[in-house]
Amino acid sequence: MPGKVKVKISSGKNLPVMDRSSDTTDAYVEIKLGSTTYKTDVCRKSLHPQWNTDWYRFEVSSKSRKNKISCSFLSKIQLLLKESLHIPTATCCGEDMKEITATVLFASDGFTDAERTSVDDSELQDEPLQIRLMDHDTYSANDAIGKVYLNLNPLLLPVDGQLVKYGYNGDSSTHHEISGWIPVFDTMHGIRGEVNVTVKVELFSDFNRFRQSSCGVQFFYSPTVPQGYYAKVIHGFVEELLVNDDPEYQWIDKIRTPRASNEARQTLFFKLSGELQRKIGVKALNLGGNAVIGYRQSYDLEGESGIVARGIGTAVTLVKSINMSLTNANTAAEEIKEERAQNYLKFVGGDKSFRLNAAPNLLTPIPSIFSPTTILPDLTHPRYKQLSKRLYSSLDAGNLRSSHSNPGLNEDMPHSSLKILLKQEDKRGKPCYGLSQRIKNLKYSQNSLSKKMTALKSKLGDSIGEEIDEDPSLLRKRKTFKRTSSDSSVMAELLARSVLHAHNSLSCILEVQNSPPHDKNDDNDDEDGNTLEKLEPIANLLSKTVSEPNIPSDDNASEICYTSSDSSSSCSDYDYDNETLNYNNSNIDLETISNIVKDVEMIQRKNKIPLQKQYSLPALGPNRIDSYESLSENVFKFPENTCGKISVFDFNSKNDVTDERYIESMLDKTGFIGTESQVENLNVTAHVTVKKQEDDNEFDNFQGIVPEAIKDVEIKQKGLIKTAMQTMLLEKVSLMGTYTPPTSPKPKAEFFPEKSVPKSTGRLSDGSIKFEYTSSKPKIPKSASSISFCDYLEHTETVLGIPFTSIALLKSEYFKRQKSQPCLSDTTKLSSAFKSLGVEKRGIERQNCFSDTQLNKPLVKTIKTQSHDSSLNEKKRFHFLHRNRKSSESDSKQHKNIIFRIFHNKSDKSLAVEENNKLEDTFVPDHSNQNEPSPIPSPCVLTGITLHRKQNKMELTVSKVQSDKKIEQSPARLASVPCIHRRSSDSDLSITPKGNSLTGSDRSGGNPSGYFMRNNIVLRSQVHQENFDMLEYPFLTMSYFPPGFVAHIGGSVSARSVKRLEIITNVDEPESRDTWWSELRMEIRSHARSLNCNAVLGYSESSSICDDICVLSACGTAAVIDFTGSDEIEETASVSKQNCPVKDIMSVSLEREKNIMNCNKIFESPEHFTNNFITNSCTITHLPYDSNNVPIKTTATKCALCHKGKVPEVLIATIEPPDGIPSTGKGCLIESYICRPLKDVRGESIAKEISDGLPFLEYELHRLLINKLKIKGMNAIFGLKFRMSVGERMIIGIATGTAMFLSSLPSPVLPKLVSDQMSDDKKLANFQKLLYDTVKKNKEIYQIKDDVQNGRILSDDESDDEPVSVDLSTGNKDCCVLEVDDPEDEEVLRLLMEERPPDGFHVVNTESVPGLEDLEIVKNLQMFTQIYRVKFHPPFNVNNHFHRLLQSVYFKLRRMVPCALCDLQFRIDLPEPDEVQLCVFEDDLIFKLDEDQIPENSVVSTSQANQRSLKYKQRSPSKYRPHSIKQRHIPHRERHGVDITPLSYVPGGIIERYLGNLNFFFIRETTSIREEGGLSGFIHSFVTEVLAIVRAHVTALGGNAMVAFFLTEIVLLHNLHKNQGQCLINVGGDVVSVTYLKEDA
Amino acid sequence: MTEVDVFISNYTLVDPEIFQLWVEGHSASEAVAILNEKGLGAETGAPLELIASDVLDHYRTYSLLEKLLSSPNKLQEQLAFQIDPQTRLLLIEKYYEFDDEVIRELLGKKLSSKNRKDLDEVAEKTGKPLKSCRRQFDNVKRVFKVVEEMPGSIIENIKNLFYLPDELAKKYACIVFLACIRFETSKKKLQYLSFNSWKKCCEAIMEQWTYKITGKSCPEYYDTEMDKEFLLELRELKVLLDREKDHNLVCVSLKPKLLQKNFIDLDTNFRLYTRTILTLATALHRARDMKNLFVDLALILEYFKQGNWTVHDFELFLITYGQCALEIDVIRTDATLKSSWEKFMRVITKCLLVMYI
Repeated sequence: MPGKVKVKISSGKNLPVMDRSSDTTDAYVEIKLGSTTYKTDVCRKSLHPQWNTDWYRFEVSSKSRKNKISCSFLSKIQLLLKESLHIPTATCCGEDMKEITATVLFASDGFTDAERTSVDDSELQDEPLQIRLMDHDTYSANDAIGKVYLNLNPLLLPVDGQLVKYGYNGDSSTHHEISGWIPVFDTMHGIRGEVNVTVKVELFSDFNRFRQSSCGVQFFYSPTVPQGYYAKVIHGFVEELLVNDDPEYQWIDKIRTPRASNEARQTLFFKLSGELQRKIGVKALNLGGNAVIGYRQSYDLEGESGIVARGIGTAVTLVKSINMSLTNANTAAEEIKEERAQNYLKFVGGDKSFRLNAAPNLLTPIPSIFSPTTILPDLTHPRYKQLSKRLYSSLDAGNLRSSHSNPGLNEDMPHSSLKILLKQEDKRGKPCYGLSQRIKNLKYSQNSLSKKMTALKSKLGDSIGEEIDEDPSLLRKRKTFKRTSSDSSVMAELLARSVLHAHNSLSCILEVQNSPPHDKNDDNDDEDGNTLEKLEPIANLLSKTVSEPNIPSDDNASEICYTSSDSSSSCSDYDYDNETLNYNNSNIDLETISNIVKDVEMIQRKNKIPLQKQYSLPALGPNRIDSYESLSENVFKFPENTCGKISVFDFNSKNDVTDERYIESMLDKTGFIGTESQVENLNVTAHVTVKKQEDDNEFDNFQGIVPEAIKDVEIKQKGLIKTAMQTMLLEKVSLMGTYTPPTSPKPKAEFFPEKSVPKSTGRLSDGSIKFEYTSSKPKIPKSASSISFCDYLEHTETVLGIPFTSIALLKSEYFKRQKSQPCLSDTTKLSSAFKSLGVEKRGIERQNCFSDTQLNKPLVKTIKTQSHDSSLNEKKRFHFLHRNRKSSESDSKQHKNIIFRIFHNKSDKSLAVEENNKLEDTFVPDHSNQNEPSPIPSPCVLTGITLHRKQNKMELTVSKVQSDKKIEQSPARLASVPCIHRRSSDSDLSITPKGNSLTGSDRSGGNPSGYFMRNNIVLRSQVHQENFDMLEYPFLTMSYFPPGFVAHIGGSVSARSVKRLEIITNVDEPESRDTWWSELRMEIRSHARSLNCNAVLGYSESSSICDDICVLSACGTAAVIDFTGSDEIEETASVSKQNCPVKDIMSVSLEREKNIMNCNKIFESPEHFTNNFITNSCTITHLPYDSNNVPIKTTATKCALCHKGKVPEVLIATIEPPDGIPSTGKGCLIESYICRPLKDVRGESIAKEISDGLPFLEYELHRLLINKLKIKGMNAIFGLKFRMSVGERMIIGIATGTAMFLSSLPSPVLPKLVSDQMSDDKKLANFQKLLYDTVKKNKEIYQIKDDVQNGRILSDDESDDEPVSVDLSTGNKDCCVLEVDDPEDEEVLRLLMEERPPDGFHVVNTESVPGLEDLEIVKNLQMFTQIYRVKFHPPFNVNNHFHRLLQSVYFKLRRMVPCALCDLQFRIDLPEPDEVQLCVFEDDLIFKLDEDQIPENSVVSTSQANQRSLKYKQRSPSKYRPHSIKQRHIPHRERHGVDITPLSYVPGGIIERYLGNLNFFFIRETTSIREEGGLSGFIHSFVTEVLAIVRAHVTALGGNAMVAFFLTEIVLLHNLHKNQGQCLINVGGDVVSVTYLKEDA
Repeated sequence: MTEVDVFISNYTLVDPEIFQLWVEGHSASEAVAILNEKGLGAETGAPLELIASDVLDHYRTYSLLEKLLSSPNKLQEQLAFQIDPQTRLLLIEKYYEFDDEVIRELLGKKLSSKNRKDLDEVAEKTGKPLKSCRRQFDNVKRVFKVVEEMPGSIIENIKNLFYLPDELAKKYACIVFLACIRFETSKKKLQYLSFNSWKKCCEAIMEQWTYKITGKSCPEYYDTEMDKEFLLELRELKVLLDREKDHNLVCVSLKPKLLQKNFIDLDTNFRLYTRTILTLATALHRARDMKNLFVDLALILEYFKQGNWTVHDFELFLITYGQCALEIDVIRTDATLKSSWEKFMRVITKCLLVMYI
């Protein structure tokens, strides 16, 4: 029983007269929650009744829900059973269930409780508390007075442990209740009095793993990280979609009263909202987040086909920023984690006989000490080694089977369970029970880890100058411990599973495989004895551990692992000897691996969970540690060797370089180990474990925390290193272990000193680069060999988030050092190294792309020779060749898809590691074609990181061929992707399912772990990035980001589709709707990738429905996210305000990137890299892609600020202008609207017409927008919002944005006028002059200082990017040319030169006014809503109405001058065939406009505007003040009442607390519309009432303001003849408590 | 054609100008015309359409507000409109403001729905829009109904309940008082009296004749109810009727001050005058006579008017008359009688002076 709700009704007031005879009311109250209803006494004859009731208690474990419980319970059991018993899903249905349940029940005691609770609090989240006021009537039926819906979610927030611990501190108890006067709303009469209610919720702590509730996940509509918090981790996109019947269209509606049906609807909407939020919350939890920000919820009223409720958001982990004592947080987090773990254990493992799931067993040890977990993985490892044949035998024979794991079960279990889970999730949209929870656990552990990381970071920060070494070492230690346990177990399982799979499917191959590993093992053993004498002590230790009575099973496992690890190392040697044999084997292995990999991927995800849990384990016993160390040492060879090799390659002779590299390599190792281990795991299970252990060891060594251990390790390493170094290198290269280079003592020695040196001295500037380099290298081999790599990365990344973060920290440190200490020598070398890397990559890519093995080989060779002048050894060449062969072979074996994946993954990884967006690069070629679908030219501005460029260059050569295709605007998505595109498509397909498997649900894309880290503090690890890329949709719904988060902005991307609605037959499986949206999202994603971007920011979705036609649109801003988030950027950003370039999608020109592409330029890259990091704020505007590389035509010029980066001509983005973006002048609102009539057809044909027309519409919109932009003299648009709406007779598109002048972009070119008609020359000249004047004036007004043409002049490249001759016939898209052929065009022209807002108004649709930062908002936050609805007549001039709307807004606000209108939102609807409805929200002084237009024959437009009037205090004596023509009659007022604002902040105030979010759906109906002042009066009063109710709720929650207010979905139906009207409104926002800054007199 | 054009803001915007027009009962179109004439359009460059839209928004808001304005306490605590306190007061004040002419017409009328229907006559007569008349009528009626039975100071009550400013509350208090006592106000002889005159008279009466001063016995309604004891006390003034001494005293003291003409008039008619005044005083305890107080006063005034008394002389006479009576031994020896006389004369003097125009 998780919760108790207590309700008290104290009194009512201002009730309506219900009894005419006495002019009073006999009121009583019904309180309903779920199915429980209470009634108060009747308070007779009073309009101000006093009930003063006692507390009514709703204990939420009521019996009413038993059915539900049992159902879910059964299904869960079913799941578990399936997992445990390997029952195929088919058999598990129906009657079989009973049996199963019977068998399971014995174990279910602990289970049911938890279950019940979970159901319950999910109900708390779903159900609103309904309070209905009734009038008692003795003789007839009691009349309803009205109703109050209370959303209990805000009450659930602070109570939950996580948030309390994570975000809330002590004062949370203050808002445990809702208390206050709340208006009683009746759908037929509006507000009818108020009732004073007090509601409290007591939540009992609930750590049930399987819960479906997400209490404590806080939702923010605010599109940014809420004030007072910082987002420690940004996990990624969460989404959910629900479908329900619309009560309005049910048969019953014909016989019930309007009130009943309205209330049924309202209730339904509330429930849908709650459920949606709950489910998204669950997904967020699964991702590891504790909050969802940028949450957007919308309803599609599809009429007879039902209601679709959609929600999207960004899952994040929020931390209260005030809470600086991270340690506390850490401990808290740990506590939580442990609690959870224990709870879970209790739950799962309470009954040992109940072994349904292997995973839970694995999990159980979590709370306990390290040992058990470690054991488990070990077990798996051996299995893996022996593969199919020996697996079973070994398991049986070995002591391996600990009490925890049943080998047999484990193997198959995961698969089936996963599938089931996935299925269920997909179907139900509910998170899968087992996995999701596990994932949750993982997340939690991650969170805790991350906290630790932060703490460490802080420590590091302190000690950075002095001793960096220690800190990282600490970090590593933790990592290592955690990792080892988790990794090993997970890996083992994965391996085992994969093996099994492989075995099943590819028995033949397996056989081949099997033989080599065996050999290896043997060899290893032998070799261990022979070569590694030094290892003996370790072995002793191991034996000791084994002998220890306490952990026999562990010992066994450990032994096995050790052996395996040894074997692996030895294997490499062995392989080396027998190159030929191995070679063959390796090939085979690859094949098998590839197959296995697929399977493994799924499994691995599962494994993650256990891993995470293992992380949580406190510490290892000393003995074990030693053993581990020893093992790790043994294993260590691999990573070290690889690293060493790499470093050696680059810089054989120089110690410094080597040292740095070595360190880096170490870092890489940590990062890579995962990857390597995976690869190896695939090949040999033992390897994986060993590697992990190695990692741990490495960490230990570095840390120096355990000096002894370190010493041992070092010594061992020395010995080992010698032998292993070269072997490792070879191995890595060959992955399969085919080559074992002979051990050479030299490298060892060098490495060792290097190690020590780097530790002490600190990593030098090169470190970062090297790091990248090294990382890339290992990747390559890995990629060639193993697919598992990616998967592994995901796992490790998610799990290992902490270590990665530490790495990131280290990186940042490196950077800093680099700044201080320039190392020139390194750079050259580095550059060379880069070259080599690039070459290699090329080769690989080529191989992949072309799958020409032969070609690749020579290429590679040549490359090698070129790049590795001094450093390359023959061995290396050999390696390369090997790799090539492998890759080629693998390709040939039709694993192309897999390979592709790998590549993607690799690229992703490398990106992550390098912080550069290699992914994007790789993706670019792939996705280049995909851009086509986007009808609207999406302007992309990407600032390219230098690394990017490098890689891009490299890749570009390869990809050029592909990329050159020009994309035409085709409205819809691509039907088929050509072969070349295949990669992209493949990646989409392949990746997404992975994500699914993890989250278990397609829809949500609840992919576990895309970690964006925010605030430099956080870092992104490779893994994270990988994960992020693995996310089904790398989208963020946030629109405002902290500085440094966004590396480059690529431009806006959008996708639309037209669908026909059909009745949703199965409400529980809204697959079609899901598919629709996922299609769109995929398209968006592909767009983004084609722009070389790794994320989509400011993502939003919308739909417009008319009859059975539904237009879905999604848009966002493609951008490159800086995963590392270095502080430097922030620092420097402020310093340098410069100009940045922008690129226009429409305008196109190929640029001279080619030059850059040359190898020579590669040298520049390192410089660029550093430069970018250190300084330029303009980088954000740089193109993330190469203009040649992108399917769209683009014009790029040199950045006006740094002269290095490429910038687009125009930058268009949907996000808020980032901080520190170099801009001059002020911003202004810019908008365009297009209306296209539709033919009078229905059904399929109309759908077709619409979809055919959409691209043109979008193009026109864009063109208009761009033209206006130019006339404004600006070159960038932020906060772009598109709104499409379909009506019966027309379709209207609106685009609004805030124009800015970015100084890094070239200043816009004056549009040229062109006319075919010779006679018009004079006129034309006039126009041209007019145009010129306008632009000039605009520039003055907006204070744009034109260093004119700066960008243009500076762009060294072809000056011919300006189309000198205009050939209109060729469909020139250049916006600079305006065609003036006929009066209509002139009309357009005039529109372009539309008037500006009157003096004193600053109108933008972003959250703040660009260019007015120095003005302080003084007061009078005013939000307004304007609804405007007109008959729309044939010339269909939307513009007029739009214009009028704005004018009227200005006019109405005339007394507020000076003011700023911010966050202007428009919404347009076409409710009737002849009506347009516009809706505007704004804020005064900061304000928002939302506009809706509804076109039909008559245009009805409703516009709503929220306005706040704030007064700016100007610090600079400028003209605004005097502008106030009229006195403000509201001059000085104190803050009172409730502020409502669509902004995410309260101007002039500081948000102290977030008290939850509200979302209301109100319906108001009237049968006396004339009496209420007509439609306008009706709406006016309704909106007023709605606002009143919202304010009342805000107050009742203890808040005094609402931010992120939204008003969507204003549906107005009316029948004037019948005097009837109905209106639906959906509003909501975040309730906050604000303290206002005191004003200075 | 615009079907809906609605502008709603979080903090309710009140344009004093438009609100004034609304309060004055102008229709929206009239308001637009007026505003436009005032140059709003020219000043801002706004077309009529925009002005109309703005006016309509305000009008809608105000009509929604009207319900609340009818009980200003609700306005204070309502949530539907967020209005800052100053604006709120402004709204109330403006809403409850009235035209003296209109109110003058309403004085003495029963505040019934029947009379409400007849307001068009009032409107016609005063030239004010019917709407405005209705509003004023309703306001008065509402205030009256609420305050009528309410214990405590009427002014305070009005101020507390309706959040009216002092001045306005006093006005309403007078209206309520007039309505409570049901003074005859509509006789032709009294038609000339403006509301302001009435107000002064009422204030005087309320000040002197109600329980307000005494504070005894019936504290609940102390300033809307006549001091019954006092009125009964007044009967004792009959004793003065026969005293010639009085005449002499007055004449002696006035002789040097008054115009000759007036003095002669006084000298000859003194008995008539004093008798009229004293009769009035002794009859006041009867409700009907109290109602007719002002009619009687008007009668008295007529005498002096016929004598062409100047205001100054009249005032002198009244003052002297009052004082001289005190010197008569009957009164001088009787403290109660003395105070009654003083109270009586203070009011009478004030009223007569106010009415003597």
